Amino acid sequence: MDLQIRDLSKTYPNGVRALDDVTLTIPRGMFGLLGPNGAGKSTLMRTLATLQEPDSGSARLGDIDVLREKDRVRQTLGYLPQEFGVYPHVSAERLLEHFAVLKGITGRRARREVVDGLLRQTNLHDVRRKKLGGFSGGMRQRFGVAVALLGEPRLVIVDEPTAGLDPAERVRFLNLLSDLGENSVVILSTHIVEDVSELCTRMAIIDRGRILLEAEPLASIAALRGRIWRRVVARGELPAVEAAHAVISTRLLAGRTVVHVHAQSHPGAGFDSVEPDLEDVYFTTMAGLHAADAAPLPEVAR
Amino acid sequence: MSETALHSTPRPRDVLREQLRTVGLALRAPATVATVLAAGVALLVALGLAKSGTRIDFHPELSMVPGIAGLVLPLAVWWGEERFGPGFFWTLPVDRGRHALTRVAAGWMWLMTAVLAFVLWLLVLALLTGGNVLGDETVRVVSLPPLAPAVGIDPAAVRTASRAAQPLFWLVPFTAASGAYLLASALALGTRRPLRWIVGCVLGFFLVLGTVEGARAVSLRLALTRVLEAVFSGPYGLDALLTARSESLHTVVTLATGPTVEVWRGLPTTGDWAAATLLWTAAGMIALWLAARRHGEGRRG
Repeated sequence: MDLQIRDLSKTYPNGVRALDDVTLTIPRGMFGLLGPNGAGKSTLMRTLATLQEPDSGSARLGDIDVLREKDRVRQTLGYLPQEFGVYPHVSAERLLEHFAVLKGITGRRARREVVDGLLRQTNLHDVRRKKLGGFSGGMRQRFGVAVALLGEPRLVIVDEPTAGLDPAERVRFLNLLSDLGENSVVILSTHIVEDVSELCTRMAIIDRGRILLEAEPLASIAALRGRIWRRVVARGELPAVEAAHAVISTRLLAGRTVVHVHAQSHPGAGFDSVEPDLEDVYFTTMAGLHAADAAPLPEVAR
Repeated sequence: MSETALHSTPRPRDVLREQLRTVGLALRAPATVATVLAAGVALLVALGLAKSGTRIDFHPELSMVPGIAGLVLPLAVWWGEERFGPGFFWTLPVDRGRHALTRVAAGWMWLMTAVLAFVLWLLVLALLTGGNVLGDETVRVVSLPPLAPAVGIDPAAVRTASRAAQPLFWLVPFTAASGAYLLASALALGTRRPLRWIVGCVLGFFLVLGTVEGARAVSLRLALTRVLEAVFSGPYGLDALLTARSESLHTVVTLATGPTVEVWRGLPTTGDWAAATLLWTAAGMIALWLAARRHGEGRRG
C-alpha cells in the first residue's frame, strides 16, 4: 500500500500558489517532506489529512480516494498537526481516552489497554494523570504521537513536529517517530534537515509549491560526492566569493564564516573537498543545482 | 490495489456519552462556584429566618438564575475548543456538525441536571422556612401601564386577588434555561467571535438610539421603544420565556398614602408562557441548526 499523489494544485484566494502540480509516490515507511517556511508543506499535509480541498489533482491511499472518501481516510488516519488545540485542564490519560472513543475504540477494556500501551510507548505513563497544560513542548508532541497512533492508522501525518523542542526532547521524539514506519505510510513534514536525515528512507524537497527533488537521502548525498567544497572566509571576502562561485550555504563556525560551494571541479585555492551531507543536498536543490548531479533513482519497492 | 484496513467509527450514543463526560469535566469549576454560592445564600436565608422569621414561598419561575445559566453555559462548554478552522478534530471519523450538536446536547443535559438541583434547592428552602408551596396565595394587583411611574398610586386602585398555585410554572426554570441555552449555543457555534457580536449589537443599539434622540424623531423613538418592549417584556418576549413574565409584571409601587408594597401589574398566564417558550425555542433550534451547518464538510478554510 502506498500513497499516490498526482498533479495536486492549490491557489489561495490571495493568489499564492501553495501547491503547483505536486506529484509524489510515498511508499510504506518514513517519508520526509523538506522545505522552507511557506513552501507548501502544511498545505499538502492538511490536504492529505482531509482538512483542506485542493483545486485539482488526486491522491490515493491504497484503494481509498483521499480527496473524495474523507470518512474512509479518517478511519485510518493519524494526524499530528503543528498545534492541536486540546483541553489544557484535562489529564493526558483522560484526553487520550476521549480521542480513543472518537476514533471508534469504544469498548472499555480494549480502550484501557490501547491507552495504557500508547502512554507507555510514548514514555508518558508516569505523568498520565498530569494535566496537559502543565506538559512541556516535547511531552505535548509525544502525547500528539500517542493520539495519532490510536486505531493503528495506515497513514500517519506529522507536521513540523520538532519545531521548538530542546535538543534532548528532540532526540527522544525522533526515537519515538523512528518506530512508526513499519506498517504505515508516515509523512514527516519539516524544515529541519537533520530530522529527515536521521529518520527517513525517502524524501522530497518542496519550495513554492513545487517538488524540486524526490529521492532517497543516501542516494542524493552520494550524487553530490566530489562536488561540494568548503572554505573559511573573512566576512569581508564573502561578496567576492559569492560572485565567483556557486555558494550554496554559509554558516558561522566559532565566529568565522564557512562557505560551501558547489562545483564540478576544484574551485580554486583555499577550498577543500568535503563529504556532502543532506543539508548540502537541500541547499543545492534549493539553488537549482542538484538536478544536474542527481543519479537515476532506484525504483521504489511496491 | 490493496484493501486498506479501517477501524470502526463510534456509534452516536458512544459519542454522546463521551461528550457528557468531557463537558462534565469542563463544568466542574463553574459547578463548584455555583455550589459555594448556593451554600452562601442558604446560610443567609437561615440567618434571616432566625432573625425575622422570613418565609420563602416556592416560586421557581421568579428566578432569572436558570435563564442566565443557560446564556453563559455555552462559554464553559466550548471553552478551549477550537470551533472553527482546520482543527485537529476534523481528522477524526466523527462528522464535525454532528459532533458539535452532540456537545450542545451534552451541555443541555448537564444544564437540566443543574436546574433540577436548583429547583429542588428552592423547594427545600421553602419547606424549611415554612413558605407556601402548593397553597393559594393572596396578591395585590394594580392596573399600571408598563412605563408609568410607580409612585403616588391611589390605594383604591390596588385590589387583592387569590392566586392558585400553578405547578406548570415549575417547568419555567427548565424551559427558560433551555431556550436561553439554545440561543447562546447558536451564537457560540455560528460566529467566530460571539462576544464581539454581542458588544457590537449593544453598541449599535445605542448608536441608533442616540441618532434617533439627536434627530428628535419622536415617532421613530416610539417605534423603537415598542419593538424593545415587545422583544423583552411583551406577552411573547424574552421575559415570558425566562420568568413567565413574572419579572416585568411583578413590581414595587409607592402608594399615595406612603407605604411601599409589592404588586402585580397583571398575573402571568400559562398560555403566554407556553407560546413564548415555543416561539423562542423554535427560534433557538433554527439558529442552532443554521450554526451547525457552518461546521459541515466543505465549510473549512
